[in-house]
Amino acid sequence: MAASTRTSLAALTLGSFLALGATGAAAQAVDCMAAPPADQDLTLVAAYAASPPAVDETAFTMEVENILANTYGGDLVQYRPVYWTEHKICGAGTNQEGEKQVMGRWAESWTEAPDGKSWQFKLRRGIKSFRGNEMTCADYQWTWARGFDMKAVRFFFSKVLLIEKAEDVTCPDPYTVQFKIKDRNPLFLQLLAMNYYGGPFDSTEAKKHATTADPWAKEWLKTNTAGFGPYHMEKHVPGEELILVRNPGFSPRPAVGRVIIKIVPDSATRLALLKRGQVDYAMRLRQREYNEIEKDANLQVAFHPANFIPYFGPVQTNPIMAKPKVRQALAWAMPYQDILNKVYFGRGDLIRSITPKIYPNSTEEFWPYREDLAKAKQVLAEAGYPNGFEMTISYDKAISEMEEVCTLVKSNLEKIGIKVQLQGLPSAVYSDTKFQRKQMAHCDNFQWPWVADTGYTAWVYLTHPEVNVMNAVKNDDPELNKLTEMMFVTAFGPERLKMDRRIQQRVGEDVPWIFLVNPGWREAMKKGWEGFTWYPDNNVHFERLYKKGT
Amino acid sequence: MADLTLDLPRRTATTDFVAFARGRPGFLFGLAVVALSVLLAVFGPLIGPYPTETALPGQPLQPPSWRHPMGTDVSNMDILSRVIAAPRIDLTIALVSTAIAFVVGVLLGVVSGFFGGGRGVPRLMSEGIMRGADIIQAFPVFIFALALVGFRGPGTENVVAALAFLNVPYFLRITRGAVLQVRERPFVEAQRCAGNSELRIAFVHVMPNALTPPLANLSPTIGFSILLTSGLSFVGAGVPVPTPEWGSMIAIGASNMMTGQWWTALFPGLVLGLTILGYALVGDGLKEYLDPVNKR
Repeated sequence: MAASTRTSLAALTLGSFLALGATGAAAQAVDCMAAPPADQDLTLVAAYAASPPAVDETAFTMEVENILANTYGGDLVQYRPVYWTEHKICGAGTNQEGEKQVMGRWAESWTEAPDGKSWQFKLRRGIKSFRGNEMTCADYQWTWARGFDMKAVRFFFSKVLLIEKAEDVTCPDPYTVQFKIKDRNPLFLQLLAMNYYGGPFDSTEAKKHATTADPWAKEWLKTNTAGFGPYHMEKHVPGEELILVRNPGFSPRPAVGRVIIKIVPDSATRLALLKRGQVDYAMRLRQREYNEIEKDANLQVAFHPANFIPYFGPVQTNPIMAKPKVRQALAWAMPYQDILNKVYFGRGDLIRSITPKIYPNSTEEFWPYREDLAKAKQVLAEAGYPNGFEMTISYDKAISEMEEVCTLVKSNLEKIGIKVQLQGLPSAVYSDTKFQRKQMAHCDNFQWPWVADTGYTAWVYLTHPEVNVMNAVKNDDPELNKLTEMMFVTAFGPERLKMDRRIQQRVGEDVPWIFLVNPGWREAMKKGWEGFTWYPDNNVHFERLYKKGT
Repeated sequence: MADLTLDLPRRTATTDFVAFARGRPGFLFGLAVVALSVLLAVFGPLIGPYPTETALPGQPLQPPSWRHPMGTDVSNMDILSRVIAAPRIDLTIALVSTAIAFVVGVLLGVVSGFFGGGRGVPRLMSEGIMRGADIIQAFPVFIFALALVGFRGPGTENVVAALAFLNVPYFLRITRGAVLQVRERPFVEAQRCAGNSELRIAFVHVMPNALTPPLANLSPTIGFSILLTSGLSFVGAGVPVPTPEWGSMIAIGASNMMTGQWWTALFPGLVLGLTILGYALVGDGLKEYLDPVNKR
């Protein structure tokens, strides 16, 4: 098998080329893959907004993703961190094209079959779980068989990876994992790099907790971890506390040996704890709280431009929202600048494409919408609603920034005759009604495409509503569906770039989502902590942190 | 024989009331607050200097100034305009829910009190009513209100329904207590001798004589309902944002206290506190004023 070198340099955008130049120069000064100091044994106290409802792929919240990323550590390969000079921080090199974005994690090397329908990964020797069991291909086979049975996130990944069944994951020898896939898949490695849900499990340990009725230890794994990642969950008291301890077998050895996570639902209280020095890290604060932290000499905010896509979503199960002209009118009526200035205090970027700005090929040229109420009113009249209509906009009450966004949106929509009722819902109810497509429209910020590719992003969020639960607006555009399918099997190059741009253009024409503001990745910590690395999952990866000068 | 006439001042209900109020500054203060809240409920949304549900241009969270005496909130809405518009929703919810609870509670209280000592179906009915009230009152009021609103979903109508439901046992018990006393008076027996039916005696003769305690409790109940409405909105189960409502304004503003924007929660909180105090003082005063023993 020949090593895969299919990346097309011709397809690199000017933006990514410039970023590469910048990162390349600085990479000499900062080694983003350097191991944390071996002589540090630190305890980090964190304040989270909520407990993870489960530590398995049965629940989907920011906290679940965070704990899974820190305990299971991800899949065979990972995004390659590069140094972003303008923000003085390491981050996944998502601006690079194709396979250049990734490097090995558990795999030391890999090869793709010439026909592209099979991949082989050689595992590093000596990868140990917290229980001391060595990772072998058998763990991968068990993990994938479980994933197919669970029919959750790993199963979803199997669809985009083009793995058809559990039997397509085989073990030529204990340290080689082989995948047979349906067709050549240019995104195979990037998808694996972001597969944080559902293992890989230490199957030796997990099987001890399996029963005849529960052969995949689903119940036990809801509240316990059995991974090879940097941390092991030692204690979990829902709503109160969670403790992670270092996996002694993880290499390179994390400097943080213990993470104590306190559950503090109110963001102002998390801020207060951080300011008083009672916690080292506070998760999920609001922009004005980050601004406050920046003024404090003892605290710091790590920032990296990220892949968030806060959006206004007209749900097309509603006949009014199903009309493209209505959606265009709404897009002309959004208070973009007000949201940027009032909710995010001018920090962040206005989003003008389905493809985040830091991802390859992102372009703003197909998103013409700016705040223009006269134009909005005119398009609304063309849509058949000169006097507006009544509308309910839902949002997750736990995310105060979304409440503020919704309030500003309501202000503007009422100016064009749309009578708006805001509906703040508890997180669980919001999530439930959103994914069941029972809302009329929503303000949402829980979307960040893990894979730096337009085809993937559009596929997940805006196509194939019959299989894609994340397509919460029920967009079903045959052209978009077809384009995303083709991008999964088209190699990087001019043809794929053409499809990439057409998807962005189509989204601008049809307006299934109305893009708002990307505030970027912001994390608040005490001064002295170093080693922040941004990955497209937007989690703090504790294994990379250390303290300066101790 | 000389014509003996006494030049006594004419006593009317109004002069009695004025004389009563004059010596009670707390009651007068309460009356002023109640009057002001009613005026604001009617005219509040019309007299505010800025729109109450529309974000103003410019930066949010402006501190108090001549332009915005109470500052602006996270969406750059003028807090003063919203504070004076809020009684429209808070008072409407409190008045409507208290009125419903008063009517239902008094009727059930009369039935329960008047027929309580009897036999057969009336007694069973009376017992049933009281046990129902026991069940409702066994739960903490706020938690029960939260559960009711949670069950039916947030919204003004649902808050009114929940508050009315929760206040019914309160009026029921007060009325029942009064009816139990009144029904033992000789005039009730006289009505029976005159051939009046039990139902007529209960609702035409006993009920009017048992109304003083529930009437005196109307005002504090309205105050309590305002507090409960604000509490529900504070936890997100009440009136949807951005409707001007004191509880939701405090909730929106509370998280800004840590970042130094104290005005966002302070002013709505202050006004809410003063309003509840006003209604409580009026309730206390009325209780005293309507008590025949005190009148003597």
